[in-house]
Amino acid sequence: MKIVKYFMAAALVTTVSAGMVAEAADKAKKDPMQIVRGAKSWAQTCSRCHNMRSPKELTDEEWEVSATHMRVRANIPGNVVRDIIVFLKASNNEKVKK
Amino acid sequence: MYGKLKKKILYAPLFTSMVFLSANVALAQETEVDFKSKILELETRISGLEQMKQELQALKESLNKKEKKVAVKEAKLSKEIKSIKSLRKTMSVREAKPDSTWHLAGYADVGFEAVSGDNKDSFISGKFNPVFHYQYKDWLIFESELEIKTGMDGATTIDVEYSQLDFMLHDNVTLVVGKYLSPIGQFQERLHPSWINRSMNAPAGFGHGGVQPTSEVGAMLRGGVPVSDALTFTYSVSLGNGPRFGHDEDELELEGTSVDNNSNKALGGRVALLHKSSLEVGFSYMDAGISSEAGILPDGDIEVAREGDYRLWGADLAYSKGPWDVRAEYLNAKNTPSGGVSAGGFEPVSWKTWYTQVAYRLSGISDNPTVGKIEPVVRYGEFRVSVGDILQLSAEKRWNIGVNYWLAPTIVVKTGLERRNYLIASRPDETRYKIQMAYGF
Repeated sequence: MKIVKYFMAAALVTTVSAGMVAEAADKAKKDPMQIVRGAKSWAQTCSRCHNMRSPKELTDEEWEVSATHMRVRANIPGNVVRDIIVFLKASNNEKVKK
Repeated sequence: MYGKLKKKILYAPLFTSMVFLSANVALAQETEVDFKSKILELETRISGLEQMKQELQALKESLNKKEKKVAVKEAKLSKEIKSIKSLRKTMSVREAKPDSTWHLAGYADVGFEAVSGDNKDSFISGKFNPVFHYQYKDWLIFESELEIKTGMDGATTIDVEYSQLDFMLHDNVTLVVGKYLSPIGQFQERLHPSWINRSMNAPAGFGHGGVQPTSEVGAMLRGGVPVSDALTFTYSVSLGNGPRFGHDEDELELEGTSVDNNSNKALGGRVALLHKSSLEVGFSYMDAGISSEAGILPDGDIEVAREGDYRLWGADLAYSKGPWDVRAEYLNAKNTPSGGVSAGGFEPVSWKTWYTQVAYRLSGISDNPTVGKIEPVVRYGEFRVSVGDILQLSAEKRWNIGVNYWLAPTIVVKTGLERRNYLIASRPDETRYKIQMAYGF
């Protein structure tokens, strides 16, 4: 059983490495539809566990960190999280925009 | 007459010449004086000009010197301006997007509980769970949750609920290392914070001392992969130190520990399918070897050596859309002595638990903003634990009925009652009346 467990762990690490190579070739590009997709994903994803929080609750930076935390906790694909972050940043009315 | 005239004629020019001559001499004498004075004047002017020339020369030299100094200073200034510009650029880049960002989140709750059959009506200080998130660029986040609470004896306790590093390896793969919440089932990892949980506590068998593993120390791979436009597959696969025997036979320590006492790692996790209709179905599994050496426990009891094989499986379902929040979950675990009952020195222990919960926000049927914040909730669950075939004291059926009022999306006041029907006749049933206020931030 021990061997099986360690073999599975090794297989997963290999899968991860392959995934990293694939991702390097697929860096996100600017996409005008990102906010629209983000709004939709925000509405569908966040309410799976808790009430939806207003975008105004956090600043741009805080949303980035908070959304990354939720990406891990709720197994949300990275591209979906990026869409949600773009939507939240655009909707939180933060005055100082870089 | 003529002679006189002739004389006059002769003398006239002479006289005239003499007059002219004397006039010229006088004139000549005057011109010389003038010239002299003019020469003197010119000499004075020339001397003045010479002086001016010298002064100009001195000025020119001084100007040259100053120009040189100014040029040096200009060069210095230009250098400084350049360095300031580059500094400003660096600063503005830093202001725009620092490499390291953080966010303090968490939740807190307080409450009141009255238990039937005794006089222990108590205000509950509840707990404060700060959650720290520190992120480096877009590929690493450290997160940790502490649980700070006041115990029954008034002492404050601080527990680390989780403390983990998450490496975002790929859009669909995250590597988690450290102490993390158990990925088994849906309640512990996703629903246990009091501002998320629609009820006021964990379902029977899902809290401490139940079937649900609470945390693990090890490494975990997890992520979500879109299967189609409508379906997403999610997974969490964990390899950790695993559970260990508790003090009593029907108890296991299911919190993550930093030492594995048998070097036999626990493999477990959860896979789930999430449909865009907001329906999610999950399946959990865990396999671990458990052992303990013979010895004397701190309280003086004798602990016999035990070796066990632990298996857990479970299934969960969630539907959360609009005003509806529906949850159901089942967990089944068994610990059997390795090599048989006689070899293991203890009886097989089995645990089963399940619950189903329905919450409905009245905003679904009323436009009134006050009524729309009300949310009735009902939960029913069962927990059974048996050593061999003998049901244990903690086995129970539990009803929870409550009404929540949402002051804000993350602030809730919950009221309700809980009915505990213990399955062992010798243990009296209980009814608990509860109020809880929770704030997630």
